[in-house]
Amino acid sequence: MLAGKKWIDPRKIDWTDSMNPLTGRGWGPDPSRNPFMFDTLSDPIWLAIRGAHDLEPRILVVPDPIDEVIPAGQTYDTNVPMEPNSWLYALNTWITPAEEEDPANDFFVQITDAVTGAQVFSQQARATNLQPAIGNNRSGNGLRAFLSSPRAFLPPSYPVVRIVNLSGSNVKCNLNLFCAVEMR
Amino acid sequence: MSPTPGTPIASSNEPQYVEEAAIVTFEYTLNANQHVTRVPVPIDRDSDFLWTGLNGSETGSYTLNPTLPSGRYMCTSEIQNANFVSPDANQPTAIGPPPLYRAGSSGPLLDLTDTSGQTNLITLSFSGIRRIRTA
Repeated sequence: MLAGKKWIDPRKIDWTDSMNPLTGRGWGPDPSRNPFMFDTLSDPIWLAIRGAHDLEPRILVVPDPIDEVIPAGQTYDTNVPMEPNSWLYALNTWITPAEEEDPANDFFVQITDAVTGAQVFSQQARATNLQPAIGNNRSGNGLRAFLSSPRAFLPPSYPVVRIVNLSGSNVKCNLNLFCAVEMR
Repeated sequence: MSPTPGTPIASSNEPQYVEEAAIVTFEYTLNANQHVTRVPVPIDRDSDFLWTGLNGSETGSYTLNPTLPSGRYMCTSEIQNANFVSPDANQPTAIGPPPLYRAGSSGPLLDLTDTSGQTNLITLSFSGIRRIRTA
């Protein structure tokens, strides 16, 4: 049974690196737990970021403040005041009232680089696909949707977020951008 | 690569440390719709604390925003607990890059707001690595 399993010496794992996929906190060396996250965190750019100094975690919350209500059927565009040299690595969404309370509640999101025009999604993504409480997958590191590779926003760039409220009622639509910020 | 947890770093010129797993627990009760700011999560006086994971439980929804060791807030605005606090102790939300809080500091100061409209018992486990200076 163990023949196909690679032995990992626990003494060679950097336990101080919270994003080390080998630390087994939620993704673990067993790829069956979450191969996508494991692969993301094994990405060469991630390895470089994890080994870098003077980085701080940062969460950009949209809208700011989060209790801003977006009217039914309306599109909400905002420039997110991201600090220079930020790396976007994961995101998640939330809607209030929750979709369980009203299945019609949903919204679309898109994130665009203000300078290059590059978009994170090929077309606007449905928030329920990025939402931790839907699909019974609200667990641990599944709280967030990790990008396949961290995305840099270099000066003077910043993200432009578009939220489209699809529901027939006025709801609070939240999008959270999880970043690492260079402090130098 | 960090030193092996629980093993002193051998060096004649540099301070020596021991690193071991640690969990800093926090419990707070919010009244309905109450908003509090900068609630400390005290760090042990004998060791620095590297915050790498977060999980917890609550009796209702709330929003939170912790501060970083630099004094800045981690979030630009308070974030939904369901978007940030893992409910599973075996799968805490990975905090990365992990911030290092100095020994004896106030730790991550928490802004908390109840959004459930009822009394809300919040329990948080800040998991990570404790670094104790031995020489």
